[in-house]
Amino acid sequence: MLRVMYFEQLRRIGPFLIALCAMAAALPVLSCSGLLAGGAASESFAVLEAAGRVSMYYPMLSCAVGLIIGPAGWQTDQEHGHVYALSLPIPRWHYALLRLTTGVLLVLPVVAALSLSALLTSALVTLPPGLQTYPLPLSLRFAATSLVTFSTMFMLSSASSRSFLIGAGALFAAFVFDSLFAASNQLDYSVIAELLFGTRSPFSFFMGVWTLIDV
Amino acid sequence: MSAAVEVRGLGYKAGKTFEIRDLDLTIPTGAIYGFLGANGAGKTTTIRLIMGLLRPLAGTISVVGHRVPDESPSMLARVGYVPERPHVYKHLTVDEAMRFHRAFHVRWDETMARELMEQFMLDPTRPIARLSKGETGKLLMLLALAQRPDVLVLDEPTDGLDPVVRRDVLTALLDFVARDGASVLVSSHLVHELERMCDWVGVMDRGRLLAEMPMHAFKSGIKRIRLENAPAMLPQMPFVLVERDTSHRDERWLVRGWQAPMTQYFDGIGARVIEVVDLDLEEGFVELLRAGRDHRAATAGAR
Repeated sequence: MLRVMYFEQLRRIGPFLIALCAMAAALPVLSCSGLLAGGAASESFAVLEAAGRVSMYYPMLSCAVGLIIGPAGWQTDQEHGHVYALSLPIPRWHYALLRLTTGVLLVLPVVAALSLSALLTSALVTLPPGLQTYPLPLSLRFAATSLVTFSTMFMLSSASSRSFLIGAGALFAAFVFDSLFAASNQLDYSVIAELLFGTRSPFSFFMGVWTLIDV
Repeated sequence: MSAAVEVRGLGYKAGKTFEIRDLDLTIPTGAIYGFLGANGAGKTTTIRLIMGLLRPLAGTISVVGHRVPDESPSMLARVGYVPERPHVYKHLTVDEAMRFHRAFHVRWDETMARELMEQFMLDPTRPIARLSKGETGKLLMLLALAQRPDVLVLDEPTDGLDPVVRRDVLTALLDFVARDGASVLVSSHLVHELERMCDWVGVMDRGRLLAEMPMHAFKSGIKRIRLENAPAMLPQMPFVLVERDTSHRDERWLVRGWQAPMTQYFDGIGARVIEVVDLDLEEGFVELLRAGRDHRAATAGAR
């Protein structure tokens, strides 16, 4: 069952998955592009600056992974009012678990592409003294954020369109209220952002250092 | 008589206007049960309730001995379903859709599936999105039959198909039923199609089952009788009086469960039968719907 479901979903998002894998493989290379080309960026500051320019794209890519693969699990079923899924002779929880597992298996190639690229790039470059590469922490952070975003999107998109709109509307209203509250009280922090990205939240993975090269 | 599908006191509500109330329905094992009704009568909703796709508000549903929706997975393993609108994944090819379906159905018959694919002239490499309506209809029937079900639930399976495709699909269905002895629930508003293939019939209108009986009883038992001098108060009748129309000079009755010796009843009440008119299935169906609606309008007006 898992195999056919994986194949079914792969058929649907295959081109997107290839693009995501290509981007994931490209980012570590771009982080060290100056060094790989043997250019002048051999001074520590210049190397860090080059890596820093790319660092913002890692969380963006992991968000894209979740945003594309998460809803894809339910999209085909939602198009037909879940009729086919519900007429299959397995319990609903089993079907949902199969879809979730399939999604996780589709996230893994992107994580693998980034990890392999980071490891290879780290092995190939010679850094100025005082700098190090962190391929493993970067890969783990990317895997964690991708899976958190995927799971969130998977859960949200499993709801009906009506429930989704109500949830999204409530979240939007909360953000607006939070912004107005912060502005009127001259606060320099957001309560929602604190809740969402605080240390106890699974989204806190987004808040760390996103770089392949650091001191 | 054992029942393949048994529905008792079914209740369901959708929106503010549509409601199914106290629906009783029985499909005998091995029967081909035609489910007749106008568009919007509640056939598809009833079928979805039987398939466990919707949760009833009241009543019980049993399909091949499994309670629905509590035992839906084990029930669905024995039921082939062709829904009103194609539900398979359009980005898959015919062959991929068959492999997907096969993975979930332990009784899947690959030989039969390949035979049907050839019989229906379906190209296995063709994406479902590019199939014609007729080809999609054939594929849905193939998927339902090749899982070798004990019960087939077909919701307007030939709706919108051309006569050639319709004949192909129905031939495959009847061959399967003859070979495997499956029970079939087939809904349609194409009365003549059901007349040829069904041995039981249920007529539904506005969420209620107006009649349920063997096809031969339905075809022979519904009559329009023209008579005169009938008294206003009628004693117990040996048939079911569906409608009594007194707006003409001679009265017109629509009766169900009619048999020829019953003319004696009219002698007993001092009425004279002018004519007993046979109705074919379509006429009987239309008359039943009309009478049912008139009766409901009168009941609502009386309130």
